[in-house]
Amino acid sequence: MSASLHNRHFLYRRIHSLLGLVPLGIFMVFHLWQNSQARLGAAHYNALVAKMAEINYLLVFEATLVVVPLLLHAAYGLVILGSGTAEPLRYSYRRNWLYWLQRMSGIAMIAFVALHLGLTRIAAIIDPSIYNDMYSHMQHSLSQPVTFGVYMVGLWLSVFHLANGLATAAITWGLTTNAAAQRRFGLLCIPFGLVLGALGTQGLIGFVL
Amino acid sequence: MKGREVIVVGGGISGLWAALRLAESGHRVLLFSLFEVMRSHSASAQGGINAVLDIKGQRDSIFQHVQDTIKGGAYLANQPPVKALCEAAPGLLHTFERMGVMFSRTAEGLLDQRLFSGVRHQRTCFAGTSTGQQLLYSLDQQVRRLEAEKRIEKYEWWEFLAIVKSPQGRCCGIVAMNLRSLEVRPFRADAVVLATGGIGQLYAPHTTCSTSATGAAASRVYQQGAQFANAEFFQFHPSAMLGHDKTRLMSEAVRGEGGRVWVPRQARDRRTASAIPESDRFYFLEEWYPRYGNNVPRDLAARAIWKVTRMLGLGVGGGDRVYLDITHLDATMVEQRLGSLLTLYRKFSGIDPLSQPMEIFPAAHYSMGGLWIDYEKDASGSLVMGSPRNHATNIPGLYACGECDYAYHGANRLGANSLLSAAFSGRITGEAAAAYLSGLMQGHESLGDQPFEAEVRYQNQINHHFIHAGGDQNPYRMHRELGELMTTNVGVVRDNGPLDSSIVQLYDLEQRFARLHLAEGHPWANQTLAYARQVLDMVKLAQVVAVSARNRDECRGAHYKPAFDLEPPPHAYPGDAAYDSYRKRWQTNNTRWLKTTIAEYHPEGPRIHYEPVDTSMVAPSEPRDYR
Amino acid sequence: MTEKTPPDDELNLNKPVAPPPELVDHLDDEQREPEWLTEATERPPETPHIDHYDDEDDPDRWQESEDTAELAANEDESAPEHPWSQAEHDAAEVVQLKIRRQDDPFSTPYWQLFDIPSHERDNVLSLLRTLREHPITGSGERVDPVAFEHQCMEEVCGSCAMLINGRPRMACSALIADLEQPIVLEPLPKFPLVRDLMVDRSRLFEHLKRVQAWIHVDGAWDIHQPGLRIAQQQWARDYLYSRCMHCGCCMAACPQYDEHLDFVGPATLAQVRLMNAHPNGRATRSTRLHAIMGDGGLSDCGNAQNCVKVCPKEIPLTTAIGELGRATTVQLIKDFFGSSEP
Repeated sequence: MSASLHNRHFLYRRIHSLLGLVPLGIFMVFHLWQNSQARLGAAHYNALVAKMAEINYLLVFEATLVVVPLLLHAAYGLVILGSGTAEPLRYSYRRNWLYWLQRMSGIAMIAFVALHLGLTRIAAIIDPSIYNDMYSHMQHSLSQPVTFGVYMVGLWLSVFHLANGLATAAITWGLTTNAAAQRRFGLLCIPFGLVLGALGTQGLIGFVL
Repeated sequence: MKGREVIVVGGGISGLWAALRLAESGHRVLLFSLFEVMRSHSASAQGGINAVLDIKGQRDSIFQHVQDTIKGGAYLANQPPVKALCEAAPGLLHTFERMGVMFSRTAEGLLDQRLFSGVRHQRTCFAGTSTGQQLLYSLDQQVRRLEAEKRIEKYEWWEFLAIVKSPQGRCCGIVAMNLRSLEVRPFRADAVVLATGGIGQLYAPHTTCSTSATGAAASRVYQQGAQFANAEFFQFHPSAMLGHDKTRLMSEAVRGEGGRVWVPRQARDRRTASAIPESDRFYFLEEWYPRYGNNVPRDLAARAIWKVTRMLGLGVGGGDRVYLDITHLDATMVEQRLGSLLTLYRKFSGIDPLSQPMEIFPAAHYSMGGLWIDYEKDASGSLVMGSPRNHATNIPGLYACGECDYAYHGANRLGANSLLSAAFSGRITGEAAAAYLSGLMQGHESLGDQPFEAEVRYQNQINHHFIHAGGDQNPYRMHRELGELMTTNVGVVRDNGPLDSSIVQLYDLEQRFARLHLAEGHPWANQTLAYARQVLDMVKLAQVVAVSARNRDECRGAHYKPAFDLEPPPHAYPGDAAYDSYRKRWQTNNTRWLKTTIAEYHPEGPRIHYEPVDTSMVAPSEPRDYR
Repeated sequence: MTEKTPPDDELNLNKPVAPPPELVDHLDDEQREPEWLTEATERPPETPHIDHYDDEDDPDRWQESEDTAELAANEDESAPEHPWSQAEHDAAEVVQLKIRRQDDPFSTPYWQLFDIPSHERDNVLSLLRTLREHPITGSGERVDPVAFEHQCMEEVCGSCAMLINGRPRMACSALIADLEQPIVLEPLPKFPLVRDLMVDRSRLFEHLKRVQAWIHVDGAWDIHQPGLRIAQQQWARDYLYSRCMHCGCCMAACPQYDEHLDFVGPATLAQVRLMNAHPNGRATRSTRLHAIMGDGGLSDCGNAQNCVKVCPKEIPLTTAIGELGRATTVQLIKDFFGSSEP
């Protein structure tokens, strides 16, 4: 009898963790790297977007590697969120703040990703011409200081969510076992987050400069 | 075999062992405890548990263990139970090992053993500095497994109030009180095992014992006719930290590693310890016992500290305290070898013992006496294992084990023998009670409800009286008075004058319960009610201790009456005429006093009689000589 | 038929338990004489009696004793209504306690302030013990003594955990000198309240049953052979977990633990880690792992790591959780791909 397979609880949690890392984490790294190319100008960027659109079975890839994992991760994340009561002020330890921030950033990400999709994909459904010059569209959106601010905050919260998620996943999966290893790995996740955040920031600035 | 109901009262090491063995014999066990069993006082035992494994190349032997235990107890223990205890110890240790106790290990992965005071062999197994806790938890886990299998049913937060006897005098159940709802309820059973621990709270707050070590349960069955034996033998630990709530144990290891005990030579010297030069310090243990110095056995050290503070008035600041100094030792060495003890001292005193001497005073530690129990001797002079007579009190169907029995330690307990006797006695009591149950022709079913209802009514009346009595006597204050009285008059050093007066005062204290003021009528989780009831039963038990001590006119083990002290002649050793005459006097004294004190309840005070001691294995021929 | 004892509903805190009628029935006769409890019962109460000892007593001998004089003095001033005696006040610094009280599981909590004389080296527990003798609030009102749990008073039994200035810790080792005043005491959160500072921690032990935190031995009898060897290095790691006294502090601080939730909490997980490491416990390792791979198990941990910060015994709980993470990952792979182990 393999309780771990019969009782779904453990499996769901591990799948949640895995989805966050493997398709979504990797996608985010790729996505931020790609958008950082905004600094190379409208022509380069739009060509890139066009090339991406030509990928065979793109929709299938997008659905299975991004949309479905994202929906599952977010939905189950909300379920987990309902079962905890963080008290970062009473127990103001570093890891407890991170625990709280992970949950807060998760909620913020749901809103941010919705906004981001609304401004790009959904807007493109309404006005398909957006695809022809995504660069200008983004430039237009981000030139409004509010949107730019929201994007900046959303970006950094997402990056935090991934970097911190990486550190806790290492504990959850048992990559890091003792406290010293957990600390070491956690410290490694900081430069990872900073580099990723910088990459994303570069992309955002690339659109408006 | 049809299983019967059996009740075990007390969830320490002994009670859990008894419960385990009874459940394994197919009986249904009801386990009663004042709290979750893992809170029991067994957890506080730090040092270790003795067993002859002889893995240190010292040619240790079971006979040596028996001899050490008997001589340490000044020959007062019946020898068959002691022999059985020492013989069973190695097997018991290995059973604990199987149950998962994290015993400290040697480099080879074997059980490590350390040296304890009073013996010459490394015989003490230990689990870091928390041996009792580990042993207790391993049993707790086993009991929990049987609980999950519905073979043991726990009644935690229930206080034992009384046994219920059949018209023929057989124990047929108990009456207990729920400590939350205060419901008083009868529980039927065919046998009852009491494993309710020691009586250190009689000396509160000058005790190393937990709050549950009241002896109230033992006192209650004593008042119902069970005999109480050797009550006057109570061990005082020389080094306990000071405290208003309790005095916490500072292990002998501190002195073993070079700690020195001293007081200022000048009474009420107001200087701080570090400001007092060597010449003004009185290292009294080193001066009085030049050969052993600070490492004299527990009882001598306790008496010396008592003498220097209470009789010479040299206590630090004029009070009940002396210095235990390790500031002269190498800090790294001390930290490495005594780390956990230093942490304990820092945690509870807020003072670093590496920069300031610790302040200590003797404290009530362990009761050698307890409920009288029977045993069945086999041809080899050990016990007949599985005999229903083992650990049976004089009330049929009532068994006692652990610190609440009197069987193993005689007049003084050897270090690290307490965990052993707790475990061993619990185990064989479970087996004895199981044998008793198998031999029963008729169970409690044949008994009507009347005796149970009557006992419940009686207990409820006591509760009613306590809650409604409109007097002026506070139970907490009465307990403090009891502790002060016992510490001063029935403590480390005893004299007949103060003993006589304390007996009168104890009766006066008992009378004052008629004028009790509980100050709490709350019907839910009323702690004062349970507490006041315990204090009354403690006073009754204190009378037994005091009267037993008053009646024994000699010095033996922990019972010290200077007026009757037989000192070995100075500078005389075996072979000298003076020593031989001393030995003669010692032997004459034995013919008079080498006997078990037995107290029986009587409304006008305990009635004392004596019983001979079985010395079939080690004859009392040589006195102990500490010089 | 034997009389079966019904399941102990008395311990069920979800429904109010009425006090036995004997307690609430008010008898009109005020018994003040030593012959209290006069009503005839099966066990007639034994009257305390001292005549027997009067003859043997030599009153002069003990009246000289200072200690008995002290006792007599105590007796004189033991009227319950008196506030702190002047001597007690002079001897010590006065400490203010602010205690959250609740009379039973169903009533509303309220706060009370107490001024308590404190001595050198006092801790929160010793103040509570002083307070129960004189339960008088700062404003002079006599109230019921505060209910609280304690037992060993040396931080090994696990009884006296409570919130002290907002943090879960053991009251016995909380020295007054190190605390900010007023000292705020609240019952340990996350557990059902019993009364005042007492909570019901029986859940802890149900958790242990759930994860089978025991070594399954055939029986507690001798098998005439020593146990398996354990290397010193392994002992040093395992020993740390065997000191867990189940006080509940880690659970009180854990954001994922609550009386309404399923999570078994850090201490329980650490016991699984301990049992699985033991040479005998290893045999049933996968049973325990499967137990914590179910509802309320390991995966409910949110890695907030408060547990390890508040543990009074400094047990490396998060290391246990990390090691169990690895063990369950391996177990999951074994379960998925099949394994010859059970």
